[in-house]
Amino acid sequence: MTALVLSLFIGLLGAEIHVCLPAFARWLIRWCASKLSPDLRERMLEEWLAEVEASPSHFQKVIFALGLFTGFNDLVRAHGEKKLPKIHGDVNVTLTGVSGTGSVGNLTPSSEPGEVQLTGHASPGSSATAGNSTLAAVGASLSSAVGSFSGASTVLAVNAAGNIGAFAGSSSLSAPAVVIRAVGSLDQSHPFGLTDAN
Amino acid sequence: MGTDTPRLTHQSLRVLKLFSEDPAASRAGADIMRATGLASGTLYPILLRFENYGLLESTWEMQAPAALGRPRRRLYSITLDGRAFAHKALAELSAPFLVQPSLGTVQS
Repeated sequence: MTALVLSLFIGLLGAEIHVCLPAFARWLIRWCASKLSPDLRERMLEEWLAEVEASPSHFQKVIFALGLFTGFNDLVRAHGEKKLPKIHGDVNVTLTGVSGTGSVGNLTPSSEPGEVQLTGHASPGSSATAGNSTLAAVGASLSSAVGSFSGASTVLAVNAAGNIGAFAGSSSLSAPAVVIRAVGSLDQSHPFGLTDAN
Repeated sequence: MGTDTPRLTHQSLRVLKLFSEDPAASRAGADIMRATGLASGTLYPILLRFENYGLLESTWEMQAPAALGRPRRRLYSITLDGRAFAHKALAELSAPFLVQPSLGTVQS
């Protein structure tokens, strides 16, 4: 009797799992696609879901999805969404513009991975004292503003290659006053070398 | 075609070989998986890489999903550049090893 009930239970459990397999495959595919870069995300999601629907058996659907999951690192490395690296160490941005030379703030590690914060106070050149400042990340997939900076009008940019750039000016300068480019990787514990791009 | 050539692995050569066997054919990802024996997680980075280099191109199925009775699939086909690249890569692979005559003979 116990054996009969147990086999019935196992049979029902197996049937239940079998029914859930396609939903699991679709969930796994959605998760993998969500990690891709925005330009590929929709296309690959539609493509993969179509392949899953075209698979003749539930197990093949799951095998397809699991295959993507196991190769996930390769996919994301090549086609994943690029995120701002976390900042370590101080970066001194030197402004060399119409108004002369000044020092603007330091970069400090962000509380959130992928964000940059510029803190400190500006000590810009004699006339670079007014204007609102913006700290922004720009680049292929780095379009959100991530902080603010009070002092000289400064836009700090991080491109997809991981270089930072400061576009500085103020209301008293003819904008854009200067462009300063940081050279080197962001994800390092030493101060970055900065060179004037002008 | 891209300015550089893509990195070729054993798996990517299998994909190139499949497409070069019937250059006119368009194939969906699952069909390529079956023909090459590659897992989806291995195949799709290869397909996307080849597409970036202009060796493959992909289009959605022309028929409407309602007519097909299922979602439209993405079909991959080889480009002219891809054919030339595949021909060269596969020819190099099948070429016999050359023995350098300057190496001389081994003295016992």
